[in-house]
Amino acid sequence: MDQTLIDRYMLNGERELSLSVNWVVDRLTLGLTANVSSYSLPDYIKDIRRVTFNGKKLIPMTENFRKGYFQGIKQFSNDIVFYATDFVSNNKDITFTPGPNANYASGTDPWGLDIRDKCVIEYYRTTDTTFTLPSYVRTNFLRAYVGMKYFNKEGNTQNMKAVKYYTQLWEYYKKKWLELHNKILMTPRSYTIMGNPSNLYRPHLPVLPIDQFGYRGSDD
Amino acid sequence: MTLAQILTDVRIELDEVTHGQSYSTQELTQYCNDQYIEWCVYTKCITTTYTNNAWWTGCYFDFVNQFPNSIGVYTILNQQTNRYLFDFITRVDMDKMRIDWETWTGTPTYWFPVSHTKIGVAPNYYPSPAGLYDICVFEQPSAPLTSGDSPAFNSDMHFALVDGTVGRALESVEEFTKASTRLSNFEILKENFRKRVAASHSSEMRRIMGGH
Repeated sequence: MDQTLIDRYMLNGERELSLSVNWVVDRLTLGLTANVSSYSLPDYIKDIRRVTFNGKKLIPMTENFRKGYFQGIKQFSNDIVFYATDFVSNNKDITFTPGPNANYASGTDPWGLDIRDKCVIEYYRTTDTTFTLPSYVRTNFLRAYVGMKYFNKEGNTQNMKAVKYYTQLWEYYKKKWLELHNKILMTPRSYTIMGNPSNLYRPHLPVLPIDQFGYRGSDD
Repeated sequence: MTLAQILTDVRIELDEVTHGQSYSTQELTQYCNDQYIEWCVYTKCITTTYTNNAWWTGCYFDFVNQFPNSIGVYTILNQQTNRYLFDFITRVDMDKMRIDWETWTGTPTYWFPVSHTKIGVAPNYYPSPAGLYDICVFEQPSAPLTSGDSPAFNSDMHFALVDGTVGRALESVEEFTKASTRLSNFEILKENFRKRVAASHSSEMRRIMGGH
């Protein structure tokens, strides 16, 4: 089997997996210009998960809601509150309301230093040669996709029985990745006891002397 | 069982003892190691604890970058306060609690998954980390099995790798029906073992309180 062909199938398989399940998370620090509300985003962004400005989470709203509610009003402030995205058109845009009234430089550390004084966008993206499946599942999962595509290719190697087998295997692995990602990797562990353990041994509420105040009534 | 013993059983299942070998040892070792990694990842049966000053400089910790074999965080113990960080909230819960939790400073109290490579810690000491922590992580096997090695999980389940390896071997020669049977059995054993490991990870208290 041609290695170039395998590499291409593997990239396509990963991309298909990243399109069907949101699992590749990344961030960028967006440079903002004073009195400009809308900005273009890179094409590989699939969906926005979280946007912060100076460390505070912005409130998402739909583009239609923004247009209907704010109409054509242009507002600018040093405290952005809302953001709306327009991913329907070819250009992926994000619009802030109110827009920034000062310049904010882009940064290089969106997971750390940039958080406190810049605009950080956290998003789901598609895979590429840098963002790949973790090594512990990559070979096993993608062999199913490679098998499915390779045996389906016109020519001497075409084998529809193999295609059927690898298609089922690929569908199974897609479900397994969803399960592994959503239920095993992303769910809170909940191994520690809920709340503060000392609450379990917290003394009861103080009770006033019975001979002076009587029993507590139900409306106390 | 060692890898050599597993491969002997595999060759018996493939009827290669009397009729000569059609699979190379290298080939079978590769199949066995693939299934071994998959087994350990799904069941989360390997945990390792690391102790160091806080690795994170802000509110996020890239544990895969720090521990290349890790697949997820199990527990974090703050040695300064002698308390485990609470692990029952999600990132969305944190957003609901306070919209600026990323800039919340103080003794780390909560941790939660953010992606398959990162966790969030809140509050945190900014800009420099502080305190000594024990971080326990789930790991994939540190190295592939070689002839004399035994898999790093309960010995009573090593036989499952025989089915997994035979399944992969049959798949490679396009015996798909036979391979499906073997791999299905491997999946069932894997799922059963995952539940067994999960039960041991859960605390007894949670079971008493009706959690499981």
